[in-house]
Amino acid sequence: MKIVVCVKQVPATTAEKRYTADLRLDRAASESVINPLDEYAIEQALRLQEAGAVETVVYLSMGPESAAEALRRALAMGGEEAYQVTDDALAGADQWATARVLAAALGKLAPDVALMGMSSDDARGSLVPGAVAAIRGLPLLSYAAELMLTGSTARIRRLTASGFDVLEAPLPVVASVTDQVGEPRYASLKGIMAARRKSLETWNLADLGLSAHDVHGAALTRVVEVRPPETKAPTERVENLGPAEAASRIADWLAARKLI
Amino acid sequence: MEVGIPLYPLIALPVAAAIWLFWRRARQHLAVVRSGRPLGRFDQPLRRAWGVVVYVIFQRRLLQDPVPGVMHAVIFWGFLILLVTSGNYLTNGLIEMILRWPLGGIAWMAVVFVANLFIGLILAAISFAVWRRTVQRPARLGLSRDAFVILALILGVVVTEVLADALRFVAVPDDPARPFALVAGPVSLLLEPLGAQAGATGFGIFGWLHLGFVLGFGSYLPYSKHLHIVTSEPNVYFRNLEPRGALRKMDLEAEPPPGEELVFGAKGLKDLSWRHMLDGLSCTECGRCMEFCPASMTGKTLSPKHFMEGLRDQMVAAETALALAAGAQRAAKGGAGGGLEASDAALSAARERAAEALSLPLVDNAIPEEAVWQCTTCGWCVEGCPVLIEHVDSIVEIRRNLVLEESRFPKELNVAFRNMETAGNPWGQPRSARMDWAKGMDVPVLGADGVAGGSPAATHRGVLYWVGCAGAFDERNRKVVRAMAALLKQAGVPFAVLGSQETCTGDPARRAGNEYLFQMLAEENVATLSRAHDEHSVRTIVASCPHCFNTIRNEYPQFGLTGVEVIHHTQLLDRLVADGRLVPDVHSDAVVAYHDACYLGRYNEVYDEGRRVVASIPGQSVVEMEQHHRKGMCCGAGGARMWMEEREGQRINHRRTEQALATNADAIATACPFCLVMLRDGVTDLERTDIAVRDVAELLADATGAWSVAPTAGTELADTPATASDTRGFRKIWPA
Repeated sequence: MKIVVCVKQVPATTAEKRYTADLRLDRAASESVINPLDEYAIEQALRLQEAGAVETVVYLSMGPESAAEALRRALAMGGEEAYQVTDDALAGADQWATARVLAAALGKLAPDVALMGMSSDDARGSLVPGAVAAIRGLPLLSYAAELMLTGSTARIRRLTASGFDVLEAPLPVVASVTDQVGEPRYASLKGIMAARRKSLETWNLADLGLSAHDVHGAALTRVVEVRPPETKAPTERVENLGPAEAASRIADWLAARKLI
Repeated sequence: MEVGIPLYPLIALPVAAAIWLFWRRARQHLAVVRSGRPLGRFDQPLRRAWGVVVYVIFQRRLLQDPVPGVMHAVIFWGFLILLVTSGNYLTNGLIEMILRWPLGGIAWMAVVFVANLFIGLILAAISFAVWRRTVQRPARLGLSRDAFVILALILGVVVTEVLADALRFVAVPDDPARPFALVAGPVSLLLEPLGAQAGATGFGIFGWLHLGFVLGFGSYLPYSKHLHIVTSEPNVYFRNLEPRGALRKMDLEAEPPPGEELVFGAKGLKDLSWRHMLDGLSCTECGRCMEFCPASMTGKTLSPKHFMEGLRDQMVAAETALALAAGAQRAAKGGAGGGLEASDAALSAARERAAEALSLPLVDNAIPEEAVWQCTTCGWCVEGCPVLIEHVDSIVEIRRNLVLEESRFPKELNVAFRNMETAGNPWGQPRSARMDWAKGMDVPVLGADGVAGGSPAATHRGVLYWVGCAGAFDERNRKVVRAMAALLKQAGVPFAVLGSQETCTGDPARRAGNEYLFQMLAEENVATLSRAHDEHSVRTIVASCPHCFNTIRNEYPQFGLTGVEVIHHTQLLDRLVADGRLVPDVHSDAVVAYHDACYLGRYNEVYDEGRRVVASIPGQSVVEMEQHHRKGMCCGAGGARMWMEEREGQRINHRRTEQALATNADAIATACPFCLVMLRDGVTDLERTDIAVRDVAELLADATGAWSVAPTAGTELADTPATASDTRGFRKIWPA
C-alpha cells in the first residue's frame, strides 16, 4: 500500500506578505512553512504507516525550487521519498492548473491513496482535491476526520453537525483531511538528519508530458486585485465595572445594534 | 608503664580486608563513571583546589544553613582531627612518638586537646542528628536506615577512642597529655579504681575495638550514601567554572564514535558526562535541593534529591553488569584449550549486557518522565547543594534526548517551538508587530530603513535596548518596556532598539531541550548583534528580560559574540539613580515585596540593584519574603515552563504569591516579564488584586515623572570613533 501526500509550501501566517507587480506573492520576503493543513495529511499517513496499514509514504509538491524545503521538512517527520514538480512555466498557476499538474504526477506515482489537506492556508480555494479526483476519475473522500484502510477499500469518518458520516470507496482514491486527524508530530533532529539522506527527485513539466500551454491555457481564474483586509474599528472594552453594570453595558451595546 | 596495642602485627589482616572491601566496590563505581562522556574540567588547577578548600574544608554551603551546618561542620572537622588520633592507633603510637619529640611534646598536647574538644562536640552533634531525624524530621530528610548505620559507626569510633584513651591514662596516670584530654581525662578518673593493670588490658581491648570501628567505617563507605566523604572532593574540584547560566553547547554536526550510534543529549548513563555521573555518587541525600525546589515544594513528582538517588541506583545496577563483563573477560583471558570458544560466547554476552545496562534510558528509571518536564531550571538545587551537584545540566541533557531524538515532550511545547521557528517568538506574533509597543514614542531603531514605528539611528553612541518578545508582544509587559524607554529618554541616555531585526534569544527552546532550534535563533541574533557592534559601535546591550539577559551575556559568546557588555535594566536604572540622572521625587509610602528572578539572581548574582531602585523612591521601603536572594523562589515560568501546562500539585505561582501576601506588602516588584505575568495571575487567582504587581522600571517611572517627558530621542554624545577593540563599560558611555 502506498500513500502520496500532496504538500504545498505557503507563507507563514505570521509573515509579512508582499506582492510582486503582477500580483504574485513575493516569496523571498516572507518565511515559508508547510501548509499547516497538509501537516495533518502527513500525520494521518504516518500514523497509518506506523499501524502497518501502509508500506510507503511519498510526498509530492508543486512549487518553486525553494519549496524543496517543505519536502525536506515533511521527510523529517517521516516517510520514504519526495517528488517536486518545478518549472518556470508554473509560476502563477491557478487551482485548476495545479490540479492538472498534480494529477499528471500522481499518474506516474500510481498511489493507492492521494492524500491532501482540506485546503491551503494561503489561497484557501479547497478545490484541488476534488479537481484532482475528477481529472483522474477517482472517488473523492473529502474532509476526513480519520482515514482507515482495509485491504481494498478506503473508509473515512467525516464530522458533521450531528455526528460522523462514514464513507467508503474502493482503492485507489483521492482523500482530503481536516485538523481532526490529530496533532502533527514535531520533526526531531534525528528525523531532520535522516531526511537529508532521503531521495528528493525533481520533475519539470516535460517529465510529466505537459506543456506550458496545458497549464496556462487551462487556467480558469485570474487575480485582479490584492489588498490587505480593512482594519477593524478598535475594540470597545468594558473594564473595571461590577458584573451587573458590565452586563447592562454590554446588553445596551448589543441592543443598540439590534443584535438582541 | 609502656602500653601498646597487643598483637599489633596482626593489624595487617583487618587492614588488608578493609582495603579489599573498599576497592572491590570503589573500582565498580569508577568503571561506570569512566564510561561517561568526556568533559574538559582539568583547567585552572589552583582555582579548582581553592574551591575544595572553600566548599569542603570551610564548609561554605553547609554553614549557609547554620544549625544543621554547624552540626555537620563539627563532625567534619572532628573527623579531620580523628584522622590523626585514629592514625595513631593504626600505627601503634608512631604519630604520637613523632609529635611528642620537639618542644616538650607541645604538638601532641595540642592534638589531644583539639581531638577531645571535638569528641565532645561530635557526641553533641550525633545526639542532635538523631533527634533531628527521629523527632524533628524535616521533610527534606527521609528516614534512611543508612543514616543511622553511619551515625552508629561514628559513635562507635568516638566512644571506643575515648574509652581506650581513658584506660591508657589509668595505666599511665602521669601521662603529660592527660590534663589536655577534656573528655578522656575525666572518664579516666571514673575508671581509676580498676587499677593500672586492668587499664592496660582494657586499653588493648578498646584499642582493637576502635581500630575495628575505623576500618569498618572506611570499608562501609563505598556501599553507602556516605561515600561523599571521598567523592565530594573530586566533585567540587571538577565543578563548573563557566557561567552557571550557560548550558553546554551541543555539536549538532558531530560524527558518531566509530561503531556507535550518535546519541543526542542523554538517553542512558553513558551519555552523561563522567562528572555528572560522579554527582550521583556524591549525593548524601541531605535534601537541601528539594527543600526549596519549586516543584518539590508544591507537591510535584520532581525532586532533585530523588533524581540523584535514582541516578545512583541505576549506576549501581549497571555496575553489576560491568563487573560480570569484566569477570567474563578475565575468564576468557585465563581460559585455555577447549574452554576458549565457550568463554568467548560468555564474554560477548556479558559485554552486551554491560552495554545495555549503560544505555538503559534514564527516563522512567532514574527519573520519571513527568518530573523531567516539571523542572523550572530555577537553579536552587545547584545553588543549595553542599557538594556542587549540577542537577539542572543533567535534566536538560535528558530533555535534549527526548526532544531531538524522540520528539517526546508536553504537547503544548509544539506550538511554542513552531512559533519560535516561524515567527521568531513563542507567542506566534508577526515580526512586523515588533515595534507596536512603541507606538507614539519615537523610539530609534538601529540601522532602520523605514521600519514601522522607528526613526533611523545610523551611527549610534549609546546603548542597544533589547526589548525581548515579552516586551514586544505581551500586553502587560509592553507597559514595562514603554516605562524603560521613557526612563532612558528622561535620563538622556542615547539608545536604539533592533525592531523587527530582533528575534527570540532561544532561551525557552534551549531549556526545553530543543538545542537545534536554539542554535538557529542564536546564530541569527549573534549575526545581528555582531553587525550592531561592528557597524553601529554598540558596546552595551541592556535587556529587560532576565532570560534574554542571561542568554546574550552567558550563552551567545559560545556563538562568537564578543566585545559587548550585557546588563539588565535594573543594573542600568540603579546606576542612573546613583548618578543623579534619574531623580525619583514623587513620594510613595508603599511597602514593596521584591521578587528575585532566578536568571537575574541565582544565575547572574544581580540581587540588590532592583531593591536599591525600589528603595530609592522617597517613602517607599522594601520588605523581604520568606524566600529571597539566593533562596528566592521561582515564579514557575522558567525552563520553558511558561509554555507548558502545570498539571500536578499546587500552582507554583500561587505558592510564591502566598509568600508575598504574607509580608503584608502593598505591592510586589519584579524585574522579569515572566515573573510579572505569573505573579499578576497569582494575585488574580487568590483574589488579591488590591496588591499591585509591577516591574521596577514602572515604579521608578512613576516616581521620576518619566511618563510626562516629551517623547524625544536621547541626545547623542560627541562622536568619538569607536574601534573594534573598544570595550568601554556602560558606566563610561555618558559623561557624569
